[in-house]
Amino acid sequence: MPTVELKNVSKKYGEITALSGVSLRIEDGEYACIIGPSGSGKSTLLKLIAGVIQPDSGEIYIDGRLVNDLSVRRRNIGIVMQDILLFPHMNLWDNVTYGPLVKTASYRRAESTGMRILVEMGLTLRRDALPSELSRGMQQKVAIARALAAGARLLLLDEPFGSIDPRASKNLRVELRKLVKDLGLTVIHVTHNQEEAMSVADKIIVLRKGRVEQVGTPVELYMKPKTPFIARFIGGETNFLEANVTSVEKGYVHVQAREMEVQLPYRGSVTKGERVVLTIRPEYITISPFKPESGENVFEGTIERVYFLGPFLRIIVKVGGVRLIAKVPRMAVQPKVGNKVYVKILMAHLFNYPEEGLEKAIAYE
Amino acid sequence: MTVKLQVDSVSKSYGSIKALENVSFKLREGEYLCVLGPTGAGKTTLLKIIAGLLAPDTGRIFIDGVDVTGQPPEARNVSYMPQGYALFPHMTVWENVAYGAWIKGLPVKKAEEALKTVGLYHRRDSLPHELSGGQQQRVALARALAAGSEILLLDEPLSALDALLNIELRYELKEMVKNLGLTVIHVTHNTEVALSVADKTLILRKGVVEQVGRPDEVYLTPSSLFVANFLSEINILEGVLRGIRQRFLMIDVGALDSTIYVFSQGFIDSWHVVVVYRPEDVILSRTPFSDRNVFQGRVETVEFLGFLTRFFVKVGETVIRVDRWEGKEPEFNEGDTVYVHLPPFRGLVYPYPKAGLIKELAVE
Repeated sequence: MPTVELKNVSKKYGEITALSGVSLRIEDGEYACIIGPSGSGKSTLLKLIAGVIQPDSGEIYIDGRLVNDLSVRRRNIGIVMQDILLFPHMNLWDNVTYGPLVKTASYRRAESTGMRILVEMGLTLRRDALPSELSRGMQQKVAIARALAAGARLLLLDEPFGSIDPRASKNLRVELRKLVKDLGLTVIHVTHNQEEAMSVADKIIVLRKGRVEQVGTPVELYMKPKTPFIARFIGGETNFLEANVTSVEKGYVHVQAREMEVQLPYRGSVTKGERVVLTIRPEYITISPFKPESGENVFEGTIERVYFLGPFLRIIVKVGGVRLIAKVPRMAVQPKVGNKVYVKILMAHLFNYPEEGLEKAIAYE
Repeated sequence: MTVKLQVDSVSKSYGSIKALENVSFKLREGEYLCVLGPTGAGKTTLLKIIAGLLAPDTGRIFIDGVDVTGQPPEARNVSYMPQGYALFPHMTVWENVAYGAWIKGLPVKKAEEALKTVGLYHRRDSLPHELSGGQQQRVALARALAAGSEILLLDEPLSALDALLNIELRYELKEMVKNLGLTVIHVTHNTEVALSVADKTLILRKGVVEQVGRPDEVYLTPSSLFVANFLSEINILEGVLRGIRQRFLMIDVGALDSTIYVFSQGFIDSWHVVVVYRPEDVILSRTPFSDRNVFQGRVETVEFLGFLTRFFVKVGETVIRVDRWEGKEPEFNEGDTVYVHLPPFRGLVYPYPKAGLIKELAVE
């Protein structure tokens, strides 16, 4: 059964380092997503696993077997890319059964494999359709069906929803995850869309500048970002504040960010007087006209802007000189610009101040 | 506030295709309008007509109360930033922004101000390819601002950016034009953009205005099933109106094999109806806490998206989407038995579309 393991893999294109010292492991039956900004090495990583390019150093194992010298064809991998490459003159059935036939399966086996995949994917009624008669979402499903029909147990997806409209791709991703789970496949899916990754992945690998920044489940990355970069990249907009540690005692750290003194549980990584970065997710800020009962991390603020986003409101609230973005569920009575409110911070993350400076540490272009 | 721009009964056809049909609206000075609609709705045509790049077949355009319908673009006090902005690749940032003023023989002071506004004055000597995508977008915007027009027309100005930059830049853009006091029309197919930054949202469909209003108005009281569906991914239940009791519509919903009660918002001229529930309005619980509009179901899929967790719950023969804005580990897991509550005051009821559901709901 397919596990994938990389040990200390590096790859350069001329002077440019695409990947440096990447080690990771993907378990059998796991749905892994690789995300990162453009130029972070996502596609290079996928191409190395597929065998399209070779690493400069390091080892790649599939099923525990070293595959560095194995050609693409012999790795038994299904590959699906953003550009949907179906044979335009073949109907859906022929597209799907072509792979097994080329691989010299008997007609009977090709037919039974093809039929099983089409049934799984709910495509049986369209088996005679030509690709051009199908929507892009449907075409991509056929491309996936074709990749699977050849017998691959490991599926590599490179931006599979990149050319499909967002509404359709949201449905398709749910369907795709269900399918690969039913079939027990191992999947490595590259995307630049962090929401897509959160939705489908068991495990997310975040790449930044050719290195692995953090690996974890969607919940782990969201709840416990290891670096300011992850805090910015995962989970949407975030507040970044520069602060100083004012005290470390009794299991708590106090930090001062301009007029705001915030108390956090101590994690043993900062010392008194140290310069730090505090991140606060907009959804972990509550806003109320009344003073909350518990007194920690409550501040008086003024509402500066209110944006309506449908299910929730995005509110800019000023606490002294600090501008905070807060997200609160839609309310019966909308807060108004200029209102004095109480701002409560429910959770925040603390990071050592990055050596390269905050701006560079969270830049992602 | 005075009316800055008025579009009055504008129609435009390309051959036999009607691109715009009797479009009218007014914008006050400093207002930010988002025009939202599927591909082919006529959004770009509308911008081009206001900019003066296309003439309407019928109808008129007023700017500051003056009929400009027959006037050329340069006489209109309007800047137009087309989709897929193209910077001159061999010119520096400064040359790109000042070029317009320079060929018109105007002072370049405005160009300097515009570059400062977008925060890229320090990069004035860079070439476009040395900038990131977000910065290039800002330069293109500075170029549009440098013309000094009071009306800014933007065609999908953020579509080339990835999701996070799109979010950051949209608010930056809004702040910038507010501070400059500009009147803006921003064309987009992105619902979130249109709701978040707009003072007013206009929804176009096949060249016809479906609804105009504040973002909260169009979102909370969509005038049609099309608008409701275009603005968010809704739950749709087909049903038959059986009667009305104390302002509650009693609707038989086949897929749920049950009658549900929905508070009546107005007159419904049909027995065959659809009931709409937005995913965030549906309530999930482990035990039922009411005896009406409650259905037992099984969680099929859980999508943890950070702040938002989306549950797909199989109820009877249908799947109900439920969004919970909780920002923590999901409370319900795949396979769990749950109760789905459809609050009577949150349902929207529309007549069953004559063209059929699929046509009415097509968003692309």
